[in-house]
Amino acid sequence: MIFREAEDRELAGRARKGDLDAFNALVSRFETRIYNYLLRITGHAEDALDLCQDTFIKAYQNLARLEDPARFGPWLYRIAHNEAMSHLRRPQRETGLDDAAAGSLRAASMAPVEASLAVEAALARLSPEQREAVILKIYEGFKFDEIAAITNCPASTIKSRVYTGLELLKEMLAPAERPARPQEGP
Amino acid sequence: MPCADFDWKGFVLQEAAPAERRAMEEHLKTCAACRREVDALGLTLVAVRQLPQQPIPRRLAFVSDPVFELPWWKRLWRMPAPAWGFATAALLVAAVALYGTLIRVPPPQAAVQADPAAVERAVQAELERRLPAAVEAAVRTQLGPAVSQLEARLAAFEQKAEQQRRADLRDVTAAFELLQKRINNVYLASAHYGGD
Repeated sequence: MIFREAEDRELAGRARKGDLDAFNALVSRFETRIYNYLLRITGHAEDALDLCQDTFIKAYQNLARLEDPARFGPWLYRIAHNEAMSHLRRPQRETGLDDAAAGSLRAASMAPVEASLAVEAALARLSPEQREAVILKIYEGFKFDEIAAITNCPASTIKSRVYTGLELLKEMLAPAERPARPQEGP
Repeated sequence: MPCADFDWKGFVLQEAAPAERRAMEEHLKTCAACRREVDALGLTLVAVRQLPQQPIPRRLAFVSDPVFELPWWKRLWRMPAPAWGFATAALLVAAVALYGTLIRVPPPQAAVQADPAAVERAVQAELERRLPAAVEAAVRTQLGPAVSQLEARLAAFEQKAEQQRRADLRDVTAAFELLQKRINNVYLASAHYGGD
C-alpha cells in the first residue's frame, strides 16, 4: 500500500510536468476503482463508465491545480464525486434510483454469490449520502477527513453517515452471516 | 446490549486511538454483549469488503489517444516563445556546423610536416575568415523574410509619402494661382476707379 502510494505520488508529479505516459499509467491504476465507486453511487454501468471517462479528462485538464501529488487519489475521487453529483442532479431515467441501483448492481455482478447479492441489496437501501460514505470508508479505505475533503462535508457529518450506514448494514446483513441455529430435536 | 461507554464502530474501523484500543480489548475479554456487537460489526465489514469489484466494461480512452490529439498546426501554434527562440538558435548553429563540415580547408601538406602550431593558426585564420560569412548567411536566411517584408512596407510608405507630397504641391500651386487672380482683379479694379 505504501509502495503504491509512493508510485502514485511519483506518477502524479511526472504527469503534472506533462508526462503523458505517467498520466496514462495513473488511469490504468485508478480506472477500475473509480468506475466501481461511480457504479455504486449511480447504479448504472453505462453512466458510471461515461462519468469515469469524464473524471479522467477533467483530472488531466486540471492537473496544474493539484497542489500535492501525494494527494492524487483523494483529489481524483473528489472530481469523480463532483461528476456523480452533477449527474444525479440532472433529471433521472424513469426507473427510481433504488430499483435501478439494486437491479444494475445485481445484473453487473458476475459472481452468483448469495452474500454479494445481499450486500448489494443492503447497500442499495441506504441513502445516497450514506452509501457513498460507507463505500469510501469501508470499501476504499479513506480516512474520515479525506472523505470530508472528497465530498466537501464536515468530518463529523461523514462520521455520522458512516456509523448510521454501518448500523443499518449490520441489521440487514449480520443475521444472514451468523451460522444457522442447530435443529432442535422432536 | 453493548456497553455505551465504548465506540465499537470506531474500534472495528481502526479509528480508535492506541490507548483507547487497548482499553477496549481488555473490556472485550470480560463482556459478552460487547463481543457480540464487535463480531456483528466485523462480519458486516467483511461482507461489504468481499463485494467483488466489477471489471470496467471497456477500456477508457487515454488523453494520448488520437481522439484527443491536437492537429499539428495547433500544436505548433501552442509552442511557447522560448521554444521558438531555441528552435531558431538551433537552426543557426546547425547551419554554421553544416557549413564548417562541408567546406573544409585542405591542410597544407608541408605545414603538417613542419609545425602543428602553424597549421592550427592557419585553420584558425581560415575559420575566422569564413565564419562571419557563414553566420551572416544563416542570419540572412532566418531574417530574410522579415527584412523583405520590412523593405516592402518601407517602399509602400515612401510611395505614399511621395503621392502626398505631390498632392500638397498641387494644392499650393492652385492656391497661388487663385491668389494671383485675386491680385489681378484688385489691380484692374483700382485702375478702373483711378481712371474715373
